[in-house]
Amino acid sequence: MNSNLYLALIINLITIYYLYIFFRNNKNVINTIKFGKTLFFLTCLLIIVSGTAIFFDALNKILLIFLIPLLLTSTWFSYKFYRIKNSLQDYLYVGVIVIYSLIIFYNLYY
Amino acid sequence: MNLKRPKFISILGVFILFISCNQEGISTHDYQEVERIKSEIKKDIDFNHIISKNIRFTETIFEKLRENKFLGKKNFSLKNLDEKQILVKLGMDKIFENHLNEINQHILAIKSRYPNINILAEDDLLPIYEKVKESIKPNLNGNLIRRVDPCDEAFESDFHTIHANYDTAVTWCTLLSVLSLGVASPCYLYAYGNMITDVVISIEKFANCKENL
Repeated sequence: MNSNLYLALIINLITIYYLYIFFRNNKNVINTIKFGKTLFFLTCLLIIVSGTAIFFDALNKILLIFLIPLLLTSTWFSYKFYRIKNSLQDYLYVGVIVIYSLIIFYNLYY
Repeated sequence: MNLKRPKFISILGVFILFISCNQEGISTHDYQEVERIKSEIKKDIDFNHIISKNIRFTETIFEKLRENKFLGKKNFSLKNLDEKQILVKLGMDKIFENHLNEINQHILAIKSRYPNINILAEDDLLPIYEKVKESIKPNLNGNLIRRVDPCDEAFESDFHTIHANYDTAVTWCTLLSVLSLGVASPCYLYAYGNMITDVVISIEKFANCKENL
């Protein structure tokens, strides 16, 4: 159980570092979005809460219902963020992630 | 973190990822289906019946050989006879026909339950057949009993749970990644972490179980 906790802590630290780097590099864009910092914070919260729930096998329907508002917030934030940033490179990265995710979905259920 | 990489690397990356994902995807899909059928057929009642009946039939042939005192005779050899002649000689031709009919019924039942069973190669099925055959041993009364290793059973059920949990985690992370347009992609890290710890724990449990047996 202890080693489990340590691993969870390490993964959380890596995620927080990734989010910090993301924030540092895109500070100007986030500041131009209305309530940008709050929306970004809620997105971070969504990632960490759902990730920790996944790690400890605690993901259930009730938690998912509570996470839906956070999910919608993060979708809104990401849409605004990429629209304002308007970078071809980022569009390509996002495109790869979305296509990759859709392929995973297809392979899991069809 | 330097995000200003040359564009051609990004475009090349997209192509490589897209092609590799597609190729991996197709093979993974088939592989998953094969693995699913393989894991389910092991416990299938008809498949187990086929194996038990085949064992019983073989036992009956040897009993008949013993009864008719063919075994041990120096001049007697089955090499010159074909299957039908042997069965007629032992008086088992009708029993064999009945046996074949029963087996065919079980095969039809399996085919109706697993319409995709044709994707399994002979090499996929034979090891399962042999494994189940080894686990079934006739006792003195002629009834077939299944020898179950509790450690194997526990490890198998653990593995199914881990697989189901990982599928749920990946589904949620995929949904999260698509809806947050990639910002939430570190979610996969948690799914891998969870899977790895669960596998390690179940291996440890299996090793302890084997030691205590």
